[in-house]
Amino acid sequence: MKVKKLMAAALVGSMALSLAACGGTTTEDTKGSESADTSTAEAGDGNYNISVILKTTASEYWGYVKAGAEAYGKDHPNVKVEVKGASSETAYDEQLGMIETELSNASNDGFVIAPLQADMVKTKIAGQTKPIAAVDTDIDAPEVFTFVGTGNEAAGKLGGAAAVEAAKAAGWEEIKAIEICGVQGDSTNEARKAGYMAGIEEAGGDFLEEETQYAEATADKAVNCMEAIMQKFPDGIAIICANNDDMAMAAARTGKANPNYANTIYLGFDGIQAACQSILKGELTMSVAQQGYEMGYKSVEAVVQKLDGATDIPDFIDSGADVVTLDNAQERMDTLKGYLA
Amino acid sequence: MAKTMTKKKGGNGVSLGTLAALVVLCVILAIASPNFLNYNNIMSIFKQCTFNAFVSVGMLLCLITAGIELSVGANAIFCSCLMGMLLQKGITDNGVVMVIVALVAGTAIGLINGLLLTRLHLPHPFVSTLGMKNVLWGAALLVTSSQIVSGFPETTAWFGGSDVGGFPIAFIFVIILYIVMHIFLTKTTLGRSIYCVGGNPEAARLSGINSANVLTFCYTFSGLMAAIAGVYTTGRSGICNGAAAIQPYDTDAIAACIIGGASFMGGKGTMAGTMVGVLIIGVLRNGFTLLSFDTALQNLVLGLVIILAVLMDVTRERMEAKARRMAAANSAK
Repeated sequence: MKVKKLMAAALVGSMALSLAACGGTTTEDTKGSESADTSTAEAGDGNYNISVILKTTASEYWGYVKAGAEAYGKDHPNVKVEVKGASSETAYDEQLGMIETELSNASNDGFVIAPLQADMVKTKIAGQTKPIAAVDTDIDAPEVFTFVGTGNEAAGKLGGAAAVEAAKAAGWEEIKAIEICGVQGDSTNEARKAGYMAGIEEAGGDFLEEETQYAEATADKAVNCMEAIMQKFPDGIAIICANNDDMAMAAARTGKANPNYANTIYLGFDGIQAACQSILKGELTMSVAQQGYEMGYKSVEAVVQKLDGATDIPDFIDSGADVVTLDNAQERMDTLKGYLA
Repeated sequence: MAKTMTKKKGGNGVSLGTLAALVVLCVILAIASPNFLNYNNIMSIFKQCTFNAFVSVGMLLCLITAGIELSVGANAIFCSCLMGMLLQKGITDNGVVMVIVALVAGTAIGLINGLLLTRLHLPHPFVSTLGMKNVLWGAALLVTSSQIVSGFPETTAWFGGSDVGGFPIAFIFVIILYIVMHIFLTKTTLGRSIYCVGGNPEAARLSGINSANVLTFCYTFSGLMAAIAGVYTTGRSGICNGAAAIQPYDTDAIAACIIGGASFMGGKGTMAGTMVGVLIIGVLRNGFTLLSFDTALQNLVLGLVIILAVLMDVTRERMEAKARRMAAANSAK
């Protein structure tokens, strides 16, 4: 990581110097790239270069996926894993450009892609012959040989059902649920919403879809949404679910001051360290946790197995999901700290 | 300059058109949602407006000088993340120290923005502050290792979470700030110099105003305002998240100032007008939430209201100017 930061600083410095010198470095640059090419591993000799393109690397959850993918590389010295990600989970074009660049890089032997927009990525990878695994979000394309993840919808369903059970245990007779959503139109957002809705309704709750609030996946807007919910439903709501942890934590903190929302079940998504802390403090009630680290590790493993000629790799590799509650929050937090250590 | 600008407005610089737009908006929302005029909801609107109210003060000063400050939101989030870093790395859990560090850092960033413009002569603050926005976005993620930090001490949360009889303390601070800034802009030499530098740089130079110092002051002050907004949002939500630095806080602030009568051409804009702009955006967003509008509709309506509010004001000013010209022509006959 430190090496990358130094490289980034060196890049900025060299760019500034080259700008100041008004060009004249073309020859050296070309030589540099040639030497880089010759140092890369060649496919077929058991040494592989795997390019992992995530939705972003600028979030804690994706930090775990990245750590898992890189851990596979550390465990297998013949596999070089390069992890990249867009600057944010809404930087669709940036990720497409990244995928395009990586696909055209001949030194890559296989790819792991977590698509921000699966349909757009499907077009971009059309005709690729090197193995591609989808992670976190599936890509419905023949070029993709497997999907590693839980599926946001399935994980949301798990959380929704758990929230209804928790609401019953908390004494709610009428179990109504409102979701504080992220970015409308984002595929992850829609999948989590569909999962919550299915899980809550199948478990006997009432998901108030028309009351859905949009907070652009940010905590400060989630506070605004929670205040509006309390205005509209002064007698309380059994379940407030949000499609990430920071929105859920902010909503829980806002609702804490209102006695009619003291027993409300606040459900987040991702199970990050801060969410575990919030659960342990008694603010957030629970969080759906997909196993990011396992996703990263298993997706690289699948691509390597494919390159080694395995034919029995399943279409779907379940990386598992869990609901973090007061019972297991401390354990999860310790595990997560270990991943990033 | 300030006098010229306020002639077309009410005595305190509020455009009647935008004030009417705010009233109409409130009436519509009061009809559409029975909860809108609820006391608690009005207080919620004040709380929701506070962040934008702070960053808009800095933005207004920069707009008056014919500049722009695109890093206000990122600066606020960076300051929030800096507080988070102090907690996360175990450096301190003293809320007062965290707030001081945030205020110093935010002000220093504003100073850098000002110096980039005035001492390093970057062509336009659009360039330096856009660059700074990205720098701060990256820095906010770096200092927190891209993690969300929670568990801030109560002293940190005081500013963002306390109230007096339901009235948010931070908004009381906003009201005092706006009154003080109104007096500063209209009654002090430096305040009038800000208008002069933006409205007529040549006249400012000839009258001996040190434009570089005035501009540096405006951007530094904007940094301080962003830092206060950062402290506020940390206390309000109880967490910090570097990924939020890319949120369009700067465009909300620009919209509030422009609705309130500021101009990209400089030399125009008032504190009272900006407050009305902040309230229009806050009321709109509150209404969207109460009525459960989806994002697509929110963006559409917000954009239309901004365009209509400014259009109303510009049209009214043109009509008034035309009327003045006709009156002058008639009196000349």
